[in-house]
Amino acid sequence: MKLTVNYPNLPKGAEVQIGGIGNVKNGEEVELTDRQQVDFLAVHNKKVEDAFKGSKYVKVVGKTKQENVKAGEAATGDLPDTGDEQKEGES
Amino acid sequence: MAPGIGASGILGVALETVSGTYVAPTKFIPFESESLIYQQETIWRRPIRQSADVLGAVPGNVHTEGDIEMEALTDCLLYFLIAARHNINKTGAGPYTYVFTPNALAIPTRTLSVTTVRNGVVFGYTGVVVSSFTFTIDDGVLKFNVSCIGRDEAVQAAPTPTWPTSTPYGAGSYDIQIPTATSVYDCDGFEFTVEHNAEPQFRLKGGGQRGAQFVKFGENNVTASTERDFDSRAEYDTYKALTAQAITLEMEKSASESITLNLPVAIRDSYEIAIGGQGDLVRASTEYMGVMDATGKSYELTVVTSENVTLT
Repeated sequence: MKLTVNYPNLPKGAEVQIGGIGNVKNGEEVELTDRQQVDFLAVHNKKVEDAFKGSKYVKVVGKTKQENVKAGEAATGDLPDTGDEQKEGES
Repeated sequence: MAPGIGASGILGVALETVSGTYVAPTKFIPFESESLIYQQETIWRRPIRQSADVLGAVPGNVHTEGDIEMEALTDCLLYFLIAARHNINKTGAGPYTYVFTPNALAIPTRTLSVTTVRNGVVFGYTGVVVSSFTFTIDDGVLKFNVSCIGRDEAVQAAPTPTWPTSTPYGAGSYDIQIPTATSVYDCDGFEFTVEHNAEPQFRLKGGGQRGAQFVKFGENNVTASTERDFDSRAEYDTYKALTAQAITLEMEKSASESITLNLPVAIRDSYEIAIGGQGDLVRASTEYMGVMDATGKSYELTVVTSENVTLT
């Protein structure tokens, strides 16, 4: 999976920080590691390709690997349950 | 959704092409607090008809307003200065030098879409202008606070932020010049405030549109204040004589990143010296009023940054 940040308001090589991925240089394509894909899902609760779908300045090529999706979901599963998900009768 | 804390918050801005038409954020702003609200002037019906109670509600005009407090990050504050009432002169081919001077326009030339995410819930504020802004020092760090007024608000798609890696100005970044070109080393705090006194303007519309038609600017007020050690009557006498001075507050990290605040004609509005206690330093608190110079400007802000904002 590859990600490219290309903001016209930033010079080439300027760094932006993406939660779960880290620092990325403007105008440079980066190959996302399995760990970055898992961490991104854990931070944003979305896959990288879905999070930047339609973005004018962040392009993603490829899809998050299924095993990384599962690992990311396991990480987000550590979050406390929401009230919406509580079953009737549970305290 | 589960309760959340502020840490997960997101604030992003984008300059609007058409004022009031939402643009997804292209610049994400690390901020310390925000208080943007949707303000509706609901009319509560109280006709006389054998009842002492409210009979119902009639939709009133709406607008948005609130404050944003942040570290003065050069690349971020730029967007808010563009959405204030300024003439802007941009030069350079990277880094860029933006010179902001006040004008007397009633309506802003550029407006912002401001997107906030609070506990995962998205709010899209449109037609946002900067009504006032302040540069100040807090624990040696330069802070930038803005008061905004906008036209309307609606839910928008959740953004995925890409954060700037710029850092704030701290100790060793300051050059306080009182008067301009004379650096002083007895100042440990200042505040520089510009008020454009913006107000939402409502017009009669249909289609359920209740947001402000536009935001107008009012009078300009430019003030500055300093805290300095007191050691002579010289400045006190200039205060009594209403003597004008140019003052400059300069923050520089490198040749490609700096902020300069200049009051070309500053007249002291107050000058207070107090003895607070046995162990306290004797200090002078000065407030300045910025007055228009011969060229028609009461202040000038110069921002040097690599951020390349298209102004037209």
